[in-house]
Amino acid sequence: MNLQVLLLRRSVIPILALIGAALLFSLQSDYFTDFAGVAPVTAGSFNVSSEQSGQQAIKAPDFSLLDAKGKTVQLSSLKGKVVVINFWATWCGPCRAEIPGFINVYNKYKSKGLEIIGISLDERGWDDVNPFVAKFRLSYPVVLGNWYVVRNYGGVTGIPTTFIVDRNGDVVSGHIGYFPQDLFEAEIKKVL
Amino acid sequence: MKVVNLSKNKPFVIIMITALILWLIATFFSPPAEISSSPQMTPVAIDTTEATKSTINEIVKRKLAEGKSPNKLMKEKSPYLLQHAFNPVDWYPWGEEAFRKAREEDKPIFLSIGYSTCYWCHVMEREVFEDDSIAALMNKFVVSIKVDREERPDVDRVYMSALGAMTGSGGWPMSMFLTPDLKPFFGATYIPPTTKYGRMGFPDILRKIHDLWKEDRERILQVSEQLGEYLKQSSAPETKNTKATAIALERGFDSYSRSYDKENAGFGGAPKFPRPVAFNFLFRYYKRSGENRALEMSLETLKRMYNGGIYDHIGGGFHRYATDATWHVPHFEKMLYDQAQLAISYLEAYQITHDQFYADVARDVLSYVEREMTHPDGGFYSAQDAESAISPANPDVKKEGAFYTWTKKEIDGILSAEEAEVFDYCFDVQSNGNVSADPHKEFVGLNILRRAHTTEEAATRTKVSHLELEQVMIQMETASASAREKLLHARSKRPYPHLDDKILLSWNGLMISAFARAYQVFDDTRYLRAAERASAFVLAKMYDNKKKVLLRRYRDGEARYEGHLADYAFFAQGLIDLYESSLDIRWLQKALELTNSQNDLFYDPENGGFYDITGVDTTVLVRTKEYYDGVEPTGNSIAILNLLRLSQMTDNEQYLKLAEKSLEYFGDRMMTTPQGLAQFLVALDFSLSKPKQIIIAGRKNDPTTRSILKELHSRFIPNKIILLADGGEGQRVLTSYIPFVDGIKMIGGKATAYICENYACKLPTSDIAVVAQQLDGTR
Repeated sequence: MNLQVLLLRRSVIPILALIGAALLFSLQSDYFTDFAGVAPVTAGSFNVSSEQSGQQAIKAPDFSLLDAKGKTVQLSSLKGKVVVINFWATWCGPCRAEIPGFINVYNKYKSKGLEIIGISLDERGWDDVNPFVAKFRLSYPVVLGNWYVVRNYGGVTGIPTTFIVDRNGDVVSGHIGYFPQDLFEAEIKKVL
Repeated sequence: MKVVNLSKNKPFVIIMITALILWLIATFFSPPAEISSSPQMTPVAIDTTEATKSTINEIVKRKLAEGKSPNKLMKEKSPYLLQHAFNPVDWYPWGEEAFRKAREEDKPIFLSIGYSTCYWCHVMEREVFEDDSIAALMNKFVVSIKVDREERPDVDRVYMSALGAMTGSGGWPMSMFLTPDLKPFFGATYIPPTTKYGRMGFPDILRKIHDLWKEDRERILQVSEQLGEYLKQSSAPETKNTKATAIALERGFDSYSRSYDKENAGFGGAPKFPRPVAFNFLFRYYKRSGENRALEMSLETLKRMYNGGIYDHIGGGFHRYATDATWHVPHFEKMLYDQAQLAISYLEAYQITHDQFYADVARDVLSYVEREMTHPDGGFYSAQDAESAISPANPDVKKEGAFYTWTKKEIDGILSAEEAEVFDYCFDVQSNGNVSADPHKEFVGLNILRRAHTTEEAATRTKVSHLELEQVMIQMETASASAREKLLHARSKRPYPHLDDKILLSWNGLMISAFARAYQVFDDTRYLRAAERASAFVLAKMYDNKKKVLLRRYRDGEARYEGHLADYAFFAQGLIDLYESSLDIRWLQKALELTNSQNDLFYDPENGGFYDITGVDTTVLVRTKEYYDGVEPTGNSIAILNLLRLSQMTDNEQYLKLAEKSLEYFGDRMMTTPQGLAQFLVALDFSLSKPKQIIIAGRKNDPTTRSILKELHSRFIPNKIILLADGGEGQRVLTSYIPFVDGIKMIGGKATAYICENYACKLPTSDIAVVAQQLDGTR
């Protein structure tokens, strides 16, 4: 239990809101016109739905990052799976709070084609991340983020930030801040 | 006399009781609830020969030297009680000895409650309790008990509630008649020495009570039973627990808006009491809603209060209240709790506006407290009297405001011509005196200084050219400052108003907060030291480290009376503020320790909310949960806010639950009568907001750490918590509460800010500009 979980208990749980793309995707920079700046400024969730917004689906920017063993994890190689991309860090209270829920959901739906990639933004890299992964028994792949991936995903300014990518490689929703297990699971079930 | 509105009592109960006591009231004509006249006073030239420090010990010494023999109050430590130690009345302190005497001798108890800076308490003492023949009657017919309400707010609260039920109002001095089992049956406030204008004098009341006690005891017992029952009921009124929403905040604002005095600022009409909890709430409401009017009303009131005579323009600090609507004519007593809370109001006004004016007032108030209200070992005294001796030769002949008021002749005699010209203009010094609202002709020919003009206005008046204006203003500022110095010096030769030098825990808690907050804003270590010394003082002298319990009052080497909720809550708040200022983990640990004691001693697990007292002392008839945030906040509102802050700082779910349940206990009142619960609204605002959690990784005195803190405290961010991950003991302790703090580390060897809000964290940064953006929510 941590600060943010506590906070959550006494306020309205952030509800997935369908917010128009125009409102949300005010671009932070012109670097990534291909990916319309998935960078909501405040905590909460949003869906990206072509039917709703009348816009083209947004392709999740590809990345290729290394895990603790030096193995490459590449997004595009996971095509056909539902992929959750979670930006986090070991010092981040809300990240710690949601990770056990992620592990539960991952173990439940892994066989049905769910993949989760934890992209750590820890400054000191594996020195901090490895002990954490061991302690919390993270069962899904964890990689270290870099400037490019942060930029490509809208300049991630707050963590945790979580994107859900469907089997076609399109980003269907994003969420900034603590993602409670029940809401997370509901989102996953929609796209699996 | 202070008159409090007790309309919060349930009307139907009042009717029920009124029916029963009508005969009593009829018997006594009308109980005096309001003072309509006061002794006439004429101005007397002030003798400024020798400086006199006026503490109770010196007065006692003098009286003993005069050969006066003391009564039982002599063994007490309260200055107020000691003031009455030489009355011919056979006073007893509140306690079993007096109660036993009443039972054994089968006499009613006369209970007189007041406090040392209470003007009308002194009047009644002079007129009634120092009168030998009246004292003889008292000693014959009743057992007389004196209580200092500041030491025993618990006893005061019970009987004030009864007085409210009987008369519809109340105030001090409070005069109550009780049965030997402590149930009240008749009460009044000030009672004159003789029967006049249809109002019964004290001797006649005594005789009547005596007759009734002897001849119609049944009726008296019936009334006392009914009142006793009423007290029990009113202490635990039926409430439905309600979750208050942001609507309570809006209603609170509307209500303040409606009562705002557009002409003179402030809320409501005369008499005008500063009510710092109102500023606390309105500043937060402004921050939450962006409602400018909440800010403007507060700022204007703070400005007018400072400009008025309610402010001591020579020595600094606020008098207790203004008798007129324009803040000009005060009652001159100065209370520690006002200085503490108002210093914070001005600090917050400065954080919001960055207008130097508010910073200057805050500093000036704190200087006054440092100079005149601080015990050599660091605790803070309680109050200074309104009246003082006119001449040192005649220490018992006192006059309200004698220490603070001036004739123009005096001022002009002390200042140079140049200084006098500026000073008299700026501070409204007039040859015939400047007090127009003076119904009792107390200030004829005298000036109560008020800031009538700015130096800019004074400079403009000289009709110098535009270019010279600034030069003239600087000259005038200098003249004005030196005038103030000279007058302060001259005034220090006058007999001082009596200093109530007892050290009260709850008020010290408020003052510790003020100094701690001032250190945050001004980064001046002398404020931090003041807060730390006072906290150390309390922990050394007023805290039982083994039992983890606080004592309420310290004076003259003695700590006594078990702490009340307000003592625990205000002191814990002071310690939380002190932690967020000093970032020394020990203060946070103490705050937690005391909060745990507080929860054990006062929390009502069944209904939520905290009792004001432990309930151990059975002589206090009822265990209340005060909900009216008056000139001081309630214990409950501060206790709840503390729990909300600490739950965030230490990830304590239990604290959060207690806070939420307690907020619900008071929720219905917040929704229906929000103006009376301003500090509760502050707690509600915190609970409804998403507080910023600001954790700084770095050494306490590292320059980057300091810059981050400076950036932080230059803003008004009410709903936040601050923690320091210092890489040492502090971080180790914090990690034991919140595991992730272990991972909060400096980046690149530089102090680093980690800011989280609304379940999400910003990326850590050492860049002050980025910190600023993150705090302002633009990134």
